[in-house]
Amino acid sequence: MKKADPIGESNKQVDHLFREVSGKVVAVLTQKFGVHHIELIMDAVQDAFEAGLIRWRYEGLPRVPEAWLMTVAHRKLLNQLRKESHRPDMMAEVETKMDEAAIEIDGSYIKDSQLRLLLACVNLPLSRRDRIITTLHILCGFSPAELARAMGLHFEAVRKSLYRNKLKLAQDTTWIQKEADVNFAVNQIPTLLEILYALFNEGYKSQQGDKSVDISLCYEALRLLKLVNELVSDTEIQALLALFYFHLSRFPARMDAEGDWLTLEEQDRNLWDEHLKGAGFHHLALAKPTDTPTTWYLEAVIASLHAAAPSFDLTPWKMIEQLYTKWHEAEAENPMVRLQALTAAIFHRADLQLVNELEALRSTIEDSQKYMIDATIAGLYEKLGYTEKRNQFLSQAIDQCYQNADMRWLKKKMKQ
Amino acid sequence: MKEFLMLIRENADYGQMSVDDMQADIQKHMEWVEELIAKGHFKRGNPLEGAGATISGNERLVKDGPFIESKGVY
Repeated sequence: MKKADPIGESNKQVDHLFREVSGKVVAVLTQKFGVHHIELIMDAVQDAFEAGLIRWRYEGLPRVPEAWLMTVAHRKLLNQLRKESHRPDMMAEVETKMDEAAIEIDGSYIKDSQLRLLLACVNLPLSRRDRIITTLHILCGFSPAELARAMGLHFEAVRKSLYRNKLKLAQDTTWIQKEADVNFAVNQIPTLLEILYALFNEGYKSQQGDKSVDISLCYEALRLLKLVNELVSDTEIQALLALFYFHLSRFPARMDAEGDWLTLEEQDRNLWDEHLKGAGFHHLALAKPTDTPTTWYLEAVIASLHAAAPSFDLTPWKMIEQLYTKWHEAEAENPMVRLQALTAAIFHRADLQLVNELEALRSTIEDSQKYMIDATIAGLYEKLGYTEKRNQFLSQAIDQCYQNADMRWLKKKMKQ
Repeated sequence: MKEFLMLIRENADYGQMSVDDMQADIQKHMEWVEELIAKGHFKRGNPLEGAGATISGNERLVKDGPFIESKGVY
């Protein structure tokens, strides 16, 4: 096998690092210099990463890249502020902050900063969709490709949206005054939930690059959600907490020692974390809505059905299909939900008609996810005993797949 | 997964749930869901913001999720 190219490797590591660290660095600098400098701060962080990329190609990653990036971004920001300090309004401000050459990265300071930035971001004077996109970009370091997948949008649409939002935010700074306004944030719970859900999802299964799972992002989402839960009491927050805990409980069993996926069927359920599962049920009880349930609650109930199933064969697939179908009725715009319903259907009522139903989803699903349709159809054919058809769809899936661990899994399947 | 150390700092003790406990718990949720479905009561993910606003504001905009089926079975 060809030896991995060291530059490519370090690029990948930096991509990963960017997602994990950029939000923290932006948050700390924002708290120190104010949200009104967000533009300059984002640029400084981006510059620091680019500088890091060039430097680390030769030197390798520093021991604590986070600290390095924080220091470099801070220095770049100060330089930029100095350049702009001929502006009278900036003079005094920069003077007072100039002396503090080094920046502390105390854990609790970062945590506070991130919550504050999150609450500020949900105040952005943008449409709800653009607020989610921009927050995921600023706070969670999502790339346009990651955003496109998360939101089921075209890559170009996301790029345009990011650009448009940037211009808009430069013109309208009224949102800054509402920074970390808890009362306002309460009204933004739906948006907060979506942002943290997307962050969790990115860690649950990273779709790009080498790292197929990034549990630190999941715990980051959980941590922020718990902080929001301390501010506001809401059954939907409880539903999302339950969902996160149920998913986290399965992490120890999701991959083998080589980092290859183990399917739900192959997983050793004894490795599922009992404590986390218990936490899931605890929050699910608190998530019970007083009137009409939401899709968050449904999603948590589905996760609880998997968590409680003693074995793969005893999974209540019919019930799971019904719940997804209900969810899809409420959100017909989301083909991913329909895909889950059809996948569940394979395990209790597999027949060839399902192929057509799966094919019907193909045009509506986001490009980078289309291989999932082929992989699912392959699974259906396998279940029905059509080996040739199965292989045809597996190879179609392989052709469209860019997720490394999925690719390995599909190729392994092909050989079986 | 061996490279991760999971530290959960939770004071709450959720106790050990048996399979029966879990099933009983879920049963309660399922009865609740079925009752509501039968009544036709069901709403989308974001009711708070939707009050009085357009229907489309109610939809969940993040489409991809940690789906156990697509990301675990196939």
